[in-house]
Amino acid sequence: MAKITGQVQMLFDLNKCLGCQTCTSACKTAWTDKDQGQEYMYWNNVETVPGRGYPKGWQTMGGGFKACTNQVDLSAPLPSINRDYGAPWEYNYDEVLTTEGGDATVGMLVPAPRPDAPNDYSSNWDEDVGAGAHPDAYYFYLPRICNHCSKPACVAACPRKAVYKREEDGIVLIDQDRCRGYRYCIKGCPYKKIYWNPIVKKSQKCIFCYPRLENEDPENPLAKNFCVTQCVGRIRWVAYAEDTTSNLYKLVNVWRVGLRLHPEFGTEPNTFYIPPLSPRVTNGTAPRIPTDLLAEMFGDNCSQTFEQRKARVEEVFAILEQERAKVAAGGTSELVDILTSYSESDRIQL
Amino acid sequence: MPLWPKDTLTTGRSPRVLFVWGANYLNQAKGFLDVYQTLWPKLDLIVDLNFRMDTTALYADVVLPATSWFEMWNLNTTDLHSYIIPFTPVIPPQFGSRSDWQIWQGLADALANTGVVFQDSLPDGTTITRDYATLGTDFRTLNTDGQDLSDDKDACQFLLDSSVETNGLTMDGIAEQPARLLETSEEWTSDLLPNQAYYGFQRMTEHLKPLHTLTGRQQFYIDHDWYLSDFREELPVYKPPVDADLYPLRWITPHGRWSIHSTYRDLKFQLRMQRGRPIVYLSPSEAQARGLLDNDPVEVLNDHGSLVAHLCVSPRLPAGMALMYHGWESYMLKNNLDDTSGFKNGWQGPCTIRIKPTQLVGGYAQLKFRLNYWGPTGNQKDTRVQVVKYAGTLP
Ligand code: SF4
Repeated sequence: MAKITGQVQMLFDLNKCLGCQTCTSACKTAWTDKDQGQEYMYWNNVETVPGRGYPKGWQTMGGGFKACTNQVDLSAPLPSINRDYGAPWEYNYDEVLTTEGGDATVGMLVPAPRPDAPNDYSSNWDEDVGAGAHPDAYYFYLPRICNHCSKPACVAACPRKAVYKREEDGIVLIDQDRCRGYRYCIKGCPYKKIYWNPIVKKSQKCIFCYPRLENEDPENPLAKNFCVTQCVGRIRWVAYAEDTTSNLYKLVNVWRVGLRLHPEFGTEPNTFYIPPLSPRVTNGTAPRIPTDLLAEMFGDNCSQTFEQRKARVEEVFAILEQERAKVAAGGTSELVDILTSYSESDRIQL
Repeated sequence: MPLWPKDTLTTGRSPRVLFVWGANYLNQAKGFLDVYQTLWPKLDLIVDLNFRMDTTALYADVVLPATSWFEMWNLNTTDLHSYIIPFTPVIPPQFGSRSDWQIWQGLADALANTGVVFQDSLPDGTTITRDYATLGTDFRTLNTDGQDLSDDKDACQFLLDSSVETNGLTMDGIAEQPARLLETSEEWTSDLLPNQAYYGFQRMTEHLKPLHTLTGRQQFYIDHDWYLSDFREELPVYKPPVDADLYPLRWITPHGRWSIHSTYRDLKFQLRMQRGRPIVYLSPSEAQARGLLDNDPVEVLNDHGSLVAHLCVSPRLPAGMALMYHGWESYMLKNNLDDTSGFKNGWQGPCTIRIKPTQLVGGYAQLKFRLNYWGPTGNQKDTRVQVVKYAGTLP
């Protein structure tokens, strides 16, 4: 792979995500609502954790590099659209709402295909279900895009070199002319962030809104990634990894509160997550969201043990709580200032 | 609270024309089926000014197609923040729709053409002459000196000019860049503080301006007779549910984040990110006690109505509660309103309004009728339901 001279990165503060799906809708309507075969795709999706996610069970589906090696795991089955990603339902709006000068002919709006079978699913089927028991039930929202990894398994998996990583900004793209639809990239990507378009018979994925990055609007230089500009919770930061003055850099490298999602997959993702704090359980001191669950998901690199990851999650929580306490006591904190930054220019630094 | 026309309840006068604007009234009304069965037959004409086909539009005689937010000039604000928000026409009105302002103007012109003149009496007893002939002109000029406000943008500018909060702002200016109000009048509870978000009651806390209460302070104690002796609510007090609808589950219908009331509730892109159709939540223990599984079709019922939805079992729910986020269109629930099998649907079917007597108190210090601030509200929190497996067939 050619040397990457720049690398885009995104950080998500999970303490602030509302699960509103504004990001998903912005991405959907910008990139995947026009071409046939893309209906089921969410290049940006937000799933409830605990939950089966999108596609169903992706966290244990396989892919990535085995045990920090360079060997791509291609043993995973390909997810099915209706069963695993979720059917993109169509509705009989015309029958129900078109009255032709009288009554509508059909009384009820129904999705097709109907989600009646026990295994039926949608991209967000497990939304707000959660786990645990009332009043200590818990869940949180996990927004996901392609991680534009530094060691992309999809690139390694593609026999056609159709999937490539751009030198100038590290964005991972699929050359639609070279792609023959072998789908090794889908098996190889452990985050299942590459999607098969059954109509054009090619694989497609998040493009980090590169046309918006390349054609910067001088009147509106912050009009970058749609999922970031539209984020209602202001949970996302973007910057180049090399820019040591960016807030993202400070969060990841100075304050060290950004963790990678499933770093054991070995792809070195360029997305970072601040794990979610939660209230204490009733009559106890443990956080409602079990730290074990978070340590199973988040860490720094592929070689950390579970105990090391758990210690890191706890360390992040300690830093967050300490800085919050400073502000609560009337003091100031650079960390809290960044996390609560109001203006887009503090979050969009590409 | 004023009831108008006077003596409506005793003279047998009844409403003839229902004009719905900016609302999905039929769908969202508590006592859904009662509204449909008792009000609808009385009406000669139901007109709905709307930018989409919703439940109310389906059951209206006439739908006046209105522009949505991005096809017109308009204004929006609230007293909860300090911004005035313009709507701008990004695209021209689609499919022959017109802005609300143009529709009302057209109606005023149509009434003017009837040439009707009549005497009307006001609540205070004075008699005035209504002459429809001038209605169109009156509408367009409001009480200006003949200034023509037929254009949407001019009408918006007139509104900006007419309020102390916005006199000095221009429509083009606020379309270009968000603008705060320039000043807050007496009615507001806070000053506009530079570089600070607007929040309520700053004048009371910082300038010690008295509140409109008997004591001029925050007050929990109310010494009105009804509160003191009739209902024993002089201080906030817990009261168990009223002794009606003795069903086992509290029925909770919070605002969801998938819609704004019923708007967007039936939208494909939104439904695909949920479970595709209306769902009702129960805790695992309540589901198990009823032999119900996740995604089973269930009927939610009480004496007022029932609906069929699909079950979502979630441990975040306490036992004793059934929860459904609000705003589902009646046509998303089983059958339509005219179903003769006795099936009563509509997400508001199980809800009725129970008037809380203490909210009828008026003319006593802060307890004074003011729309949206004090008066009888839709108290439906005591609604209880049963949830059972739905045995019928779904379309
Ligand atoms: S828009 Fe922001 S807050 Fe809303 S779901 Fe997406 S990431 Fe979360």
